[in-house]
Amino acid sequence: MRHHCTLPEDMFASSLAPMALQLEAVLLDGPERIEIDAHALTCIDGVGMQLLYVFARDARTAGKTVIWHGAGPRFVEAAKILGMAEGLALENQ
Amino acid sequence: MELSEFITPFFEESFEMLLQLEQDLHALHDGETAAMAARLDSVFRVVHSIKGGAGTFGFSSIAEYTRALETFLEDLRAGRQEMTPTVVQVMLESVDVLREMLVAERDGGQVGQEAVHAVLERIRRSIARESLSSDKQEEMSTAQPPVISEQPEGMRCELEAEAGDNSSLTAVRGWRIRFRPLMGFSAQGSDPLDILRDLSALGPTRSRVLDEGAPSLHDLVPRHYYLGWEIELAADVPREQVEDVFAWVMDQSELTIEPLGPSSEITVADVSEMIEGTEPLEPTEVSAALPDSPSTDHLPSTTDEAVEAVEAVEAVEAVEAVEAVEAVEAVEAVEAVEAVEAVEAVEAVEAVEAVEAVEAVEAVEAVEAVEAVEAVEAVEAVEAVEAVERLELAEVAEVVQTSPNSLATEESVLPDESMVLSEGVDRLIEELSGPLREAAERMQSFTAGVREGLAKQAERQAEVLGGLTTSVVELGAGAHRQAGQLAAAGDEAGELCTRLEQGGAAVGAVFECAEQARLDAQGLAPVLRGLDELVLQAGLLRVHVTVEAARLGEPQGKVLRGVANELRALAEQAAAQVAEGKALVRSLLAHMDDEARQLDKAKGQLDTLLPEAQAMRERIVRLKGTTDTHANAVESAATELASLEGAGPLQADWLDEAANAGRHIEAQAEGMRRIVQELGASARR
Repeated sequence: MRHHCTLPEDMFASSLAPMALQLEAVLLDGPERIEIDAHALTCIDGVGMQLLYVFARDARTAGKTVIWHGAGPRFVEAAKILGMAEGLALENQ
Repeated sequence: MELSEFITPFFEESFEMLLQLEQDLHALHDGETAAMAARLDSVFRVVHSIKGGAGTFGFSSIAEYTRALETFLEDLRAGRQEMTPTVVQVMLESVDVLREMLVAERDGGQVGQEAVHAVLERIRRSIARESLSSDKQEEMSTAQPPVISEQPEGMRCELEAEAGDNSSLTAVRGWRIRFRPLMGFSAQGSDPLDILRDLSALGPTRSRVLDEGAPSLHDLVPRHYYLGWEIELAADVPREQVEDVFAWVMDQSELTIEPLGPSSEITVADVSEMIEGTEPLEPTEVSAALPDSPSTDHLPSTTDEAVEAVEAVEAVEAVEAVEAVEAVEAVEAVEAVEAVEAVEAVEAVEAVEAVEAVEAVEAVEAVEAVEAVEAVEAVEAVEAVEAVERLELAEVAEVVQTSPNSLATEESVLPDESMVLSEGVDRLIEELSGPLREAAERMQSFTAGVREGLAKQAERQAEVLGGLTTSVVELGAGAHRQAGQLAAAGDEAGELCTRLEQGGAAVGAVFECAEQARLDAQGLAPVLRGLDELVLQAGLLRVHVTVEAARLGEPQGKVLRGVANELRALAEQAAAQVAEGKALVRSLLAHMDDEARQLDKAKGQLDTLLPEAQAMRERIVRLKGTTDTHANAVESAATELASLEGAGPLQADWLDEAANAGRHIEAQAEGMRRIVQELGASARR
């Protein structure tokens, strides 16, 4: 399975700029079904979650679907606490 | 009190808390499992407090470090991470590093980043060992709902008691919180995720993202917060407890906390849904415990029944009394909440007024500028009046001066006229002196008041504008830096494209060389076939020689047999070498085929990568253009703000002019007083 984007181990405010560029590129050039590999992601903060939320929202607006692979408990927990599980399509994870 | 005055107490308290933290960790290390949960909670609170303080004072490295520790501790508390002696050891080491970081921040020193990274790496490895397997994650997510901590027993009992027959529709007490981080929130090291997590520790929560106004991904600055949240907390806790959660971020966010009223959307069924992994709460028949009202259809027939009936009535009355008290308390609670809300409303209005005050300053200054102009005009008007009065006084003086002559000649005729004139002048002095003094005093007072008020407002305005200008200038510098970084990124992407093109060309050349080598190797086949032929012919020659040796017999044949044996040995050796040569050529050809396939694949990948890199470069260039535009806009704003700062000296000039006008009026009044007094004296003489 070839993923269109792989999330890094840490997603904190200080290291989000390259990830934002990569996600934007996927949003512009990616297929209708965008596959994101979240296996490596172990630590994420609120601003990192915001980036993924806005990405998923813009993808939805553009008529694209985001599929998360290997979304770990920390990621899912953060999404649920922040009320983003539905926006990120992680309800069933 | 300035924020900086809290820094020293923060460090003192942090060091004290670290001692407590070490004690707790040592106790965990010694295996005191009975109080493990309480110890872990204590450790978590210490780390959380230091993180909050560090964020407030802008110690971002400490805030980020403690956030990582906090995450790890959450796993331990939730049971996702096993508490082992190794884990405790890692935590003890992390405390040492934290202490070093605090000391360094306090004394202006630096902590070796290797030590920090080493501890974080060990923590990360511990997490990775326990939780990275996808399967395990799934198991855990089903077994232990991580979102909302398990409902406290007390809360559940209360919910059940409140449930009644229509539990799914019964409202639950709690709070509705609207929370939106302001600009600079993340720079303080604060994190909404931590805050909402702390909130969920008070009770079940339901969060909704408020993303109105959040920009698209293209315009998003990743380190700023644009989202807000509306959280419903189904917990009957005091307001202060909710406010405590937001204590560190009150000044960095928009926050409203209001009770969930009787028409709350949260029901017991909702709470059950919010508590993941727990069964929906069953309604409890609360009313069944209450005695029915006595009915006239069932009059007591015995003393016992009568006593029971009386007791039942008393019980009903008691219940009603309790309900009445509760109703009063409920009303009082509502009033208290309303009072708090009223205070908050006043605070909100004050906040709005504070914002408006800044705008009002400009309006007031405009009005005062007009007043200053009017004051100058008033001065001019007064001066005109003075001129007229001076003219009139000159006429009076003329009359006075001519009067002695008249008196001299007509003394006997008009003996009382000089007295009348003197009295008239006295009255004139009296009538003029009062209003003139009063006008001068009022003008002086007015100019002093205006000067003081304007000076204060100008000072405040200068302060606000100075702060704004600094922020905007920093913003502009940041945007320019970002544009510079994007330009560098664009250059790097361009260089990457060039290298990819070169790589593609190099791979193509290697591919061609390999193809040529494969053809050359294939050219070896006829040579090998020729060698095979030679070996075969050598074999045939040996057979012929053997036959000839047999035909000649002894002793001539013996020599030929020797030759035949030599030929056989040579033929076998040649055959072995030809076979080895063939195997080598076959292996070479197979290897070359493999290489050619891999080169072909690499070339294909390079061909795919190149357009992607080019597209990325174009996007970076576009981003740079947008950032340049933003930077220029911010720079223009900074220039405009700087020009506003120049308004202060202009107002000071107006003030000086008004003050001078006041002083002038006063001097004129004094001069007039003197003139009139002299006139009076002359008249009397």
